[in-house]
Amino acid sequence: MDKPYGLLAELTYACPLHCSYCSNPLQLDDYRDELTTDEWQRVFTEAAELGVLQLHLSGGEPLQRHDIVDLVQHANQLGLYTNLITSGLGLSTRRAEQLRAAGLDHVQLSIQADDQELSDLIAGTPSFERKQVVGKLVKQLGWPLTLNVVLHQQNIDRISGILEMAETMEADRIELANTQYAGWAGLNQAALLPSREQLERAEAVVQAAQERLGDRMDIIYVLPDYYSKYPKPCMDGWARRQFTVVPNGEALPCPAAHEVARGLKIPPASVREHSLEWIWEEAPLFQQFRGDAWMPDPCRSCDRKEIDYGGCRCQAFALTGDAARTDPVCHLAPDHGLVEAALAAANDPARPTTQPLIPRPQVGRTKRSTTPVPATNGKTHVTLSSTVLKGKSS
Amino acid sequence: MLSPETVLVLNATGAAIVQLCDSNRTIAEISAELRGQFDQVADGDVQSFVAALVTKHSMEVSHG
Repeated sequence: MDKPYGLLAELTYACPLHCSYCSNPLQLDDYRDELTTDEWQRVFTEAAELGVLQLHLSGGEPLQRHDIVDLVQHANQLGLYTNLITSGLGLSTRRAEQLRAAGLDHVQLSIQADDQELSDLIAGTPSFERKQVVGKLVKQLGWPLTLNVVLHQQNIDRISGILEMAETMEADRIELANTQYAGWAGLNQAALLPSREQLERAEAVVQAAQERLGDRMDIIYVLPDYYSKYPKPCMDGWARRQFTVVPNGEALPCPAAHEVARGLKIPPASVREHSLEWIWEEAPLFQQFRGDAWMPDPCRSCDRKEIDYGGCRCQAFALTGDAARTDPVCHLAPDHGLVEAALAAANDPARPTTQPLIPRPQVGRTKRSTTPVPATNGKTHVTLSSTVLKGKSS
Repeated sequence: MLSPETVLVLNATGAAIVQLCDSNRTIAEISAELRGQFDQVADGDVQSFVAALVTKHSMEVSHG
């Protein structure tokens, strides 16, 4: 069996930002019983023993964890490469220096837009200025700086300005990733999906920038799979190279697999009850789509099955209600009509220029309360109550 | 080789090149050393391999 290279540790779903493209699960309140410092450190130790080389510390906002420095230090002592994926909020000079001393290898800073007003609007909170300060801080402390931009209908026309800003910030890498429609992004898909025209313009700008900047800044452009002929090789194959542990200790083959597990009625395996080795090798959810025995046609007989592994299981579930279907993004998929319908809506000349977005709400961490969860059966678009539309959290 | 979001698994020849990159040797010197280890080293192979890693910021060129 393949050994995992990477562990994504979603330390907490608490986050000061409210981005409507967030891939966190809709049932944020189910994950409030977060692993303790000791528990996370044990997870990192077991991950290193399992062969993991890279540890991605994410969330939510990982800096919301008061023990982030201790967690980084422990991972560093295990020899893991540590990558902090952050909004920048909560990274004071003092904390940054502590993280540097603890051995943090890399900082990936999220960017919403190059314009303060739009950036703060997308993030749902003032954060643009702080991100500029954090970018400088990261460079001053000698870390390589990666900017991470999730692209969608609201910011894709600003790629040129975003790239200029990245140059000014002396970013070493910038990742321009079109939205994956998981979690809150799935709810907002109709409003977030850019038009074909927008994409073509964006790709031309990216290509010109790549030629102009050469090796000064590494520009990674993640194609929007809705507009692709074939699906993306999601996670490089289910439970093949990487996995995720979410705030309450449940282990998932991918960060968006909460819904798949729920849909299949497979009880999630928790690091509180099982070793990572057992989870990786034996847990039913990890075994479910490993290899190609599960594949239906057209995947089963397709010569690309070792290239794209049947695409994204979570997307198949979100769109068809059955995680074992071929990813509807594939032009050969029996359910491709679902994606074509979404594309037709996104490219309809009568499409309103601005559509309402549902912000990802804040999640409480100490006391139990209920965040209204939009009902979804994974198949049809949901009707939203006015409470949810306002993003009210409790 | 580890970079922020990817793990590059080098094959034996790739690893041999990376091991010789010590910020002192030039590409030509590395090619020459590899010719002592391997049957064939095509002109430009080392250059294009290292250039790809530099573009990915997995390696830096020392101008010293």
